[in-house]
Amino acid sequence: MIARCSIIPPNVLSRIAANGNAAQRDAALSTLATDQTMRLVRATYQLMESGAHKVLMTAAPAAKQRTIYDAQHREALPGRVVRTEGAAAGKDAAVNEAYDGLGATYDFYAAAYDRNSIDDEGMHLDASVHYGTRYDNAFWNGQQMVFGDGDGDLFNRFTAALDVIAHELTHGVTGDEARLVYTGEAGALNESVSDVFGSLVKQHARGQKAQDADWLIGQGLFTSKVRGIALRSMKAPGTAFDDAVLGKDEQPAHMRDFVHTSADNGGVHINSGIPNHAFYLAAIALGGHAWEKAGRIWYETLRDKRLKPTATFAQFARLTALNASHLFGTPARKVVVDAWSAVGVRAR
Amino acid sequence: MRITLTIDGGLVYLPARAAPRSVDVDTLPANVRVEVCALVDALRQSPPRPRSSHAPDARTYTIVIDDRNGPTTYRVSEPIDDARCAALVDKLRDHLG
Repeated sequence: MIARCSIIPPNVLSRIAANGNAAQRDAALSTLATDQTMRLVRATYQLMESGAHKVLMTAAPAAKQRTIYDAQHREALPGRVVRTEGAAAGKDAAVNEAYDGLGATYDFYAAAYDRNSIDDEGMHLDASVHYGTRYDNAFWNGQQMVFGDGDGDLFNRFTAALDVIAHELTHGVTGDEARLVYTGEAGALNESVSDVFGSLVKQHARGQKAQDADWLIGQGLFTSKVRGIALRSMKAPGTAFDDAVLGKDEQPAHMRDFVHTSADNGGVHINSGIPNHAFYLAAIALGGHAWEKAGRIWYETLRDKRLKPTATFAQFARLTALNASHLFGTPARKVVVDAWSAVGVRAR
Repeated sequence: MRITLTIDGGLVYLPARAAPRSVDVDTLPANVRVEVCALVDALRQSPPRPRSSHAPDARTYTIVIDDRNGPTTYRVSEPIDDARCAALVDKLRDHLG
């Protein structure tokens, strides 16, 4: 392999990125992003030629690698590189929130479940901000996160809520593990898992126990014009908002109120209220930090090879009961079964 | 020509906003009408390719164009790859609110 050497060292590029004018900063950041890849490729080949990789592959420490892009109000992805791993915060709040949120989510999965990024193999975390014009949504496109700025009328920017950032990243985790199909009950489980771990990331960042958490998803995304506190409530599905323009939160808290619809891929954002509430009940009953027991049970269920992509609520619930017993014994299993029973799902 | 737009899904799924909304193109301001008609013609000549999979929390836009030839339906999901479709969705949302 022919070695290629870059003339400008990374520390100089970083100083240009921090102190240069806009054009200089753009060029430096773009070069850093490319250089990191090239250096990594070169270093990898050198290690493999020496045989050292055989030791390093088992001992390499997990580390987050974040890149934030500015989509510049267009819909082409990913956009222009504006912040890479280790770079200092700039003046763009959306960029900084995305960077910090990706970091908090990575740190949560690493600390709580020893998971190295979305794919447990150190997958780079990429996010584009300022997507579209007055774009009031956020999504995971299979490779990266995408965040809008909101319309400025009813919605604030979507990077303002840590649980939303973690929600989107968790779709990547679900895609890597259970691959729950995005329709019907499996799709509602997919959404619920993202709400569960979105909330846990927020609780972990705040150092909260289950009883002290707000159990809200997307608090702060509505402007003061909207009569509502959040997008969803895991503690009280159906109460998050009731607004003349946006309508009322239609999430059910019990299977008797399951919404049968063809809209929203079979109501994945609506019926997720049922498994959300089951998790909330289990977390409160198990006590302590919600990620330690309830979260662990749900995480191991997500990774459980018996969990099918087309799982129903009942099938998922049964696996949570089995995993609860396996991890924490019969008392925990009873708590989980009772939590599902309270929302009308049989977990035995 | 009448165009109906339906927006489905999204992280912030609001059933109240998901109902189909229509506009009679003839009632649009002249400059907007010209742009919309040009976009519709472009789509008819080269319809957008449907996406094979749906990204979580991405929205789906269903555009039904109803004229003397009958209704024609286009359905695209975010991110909208087709620039003409994206432009038409933007113009419709600007007008419909």
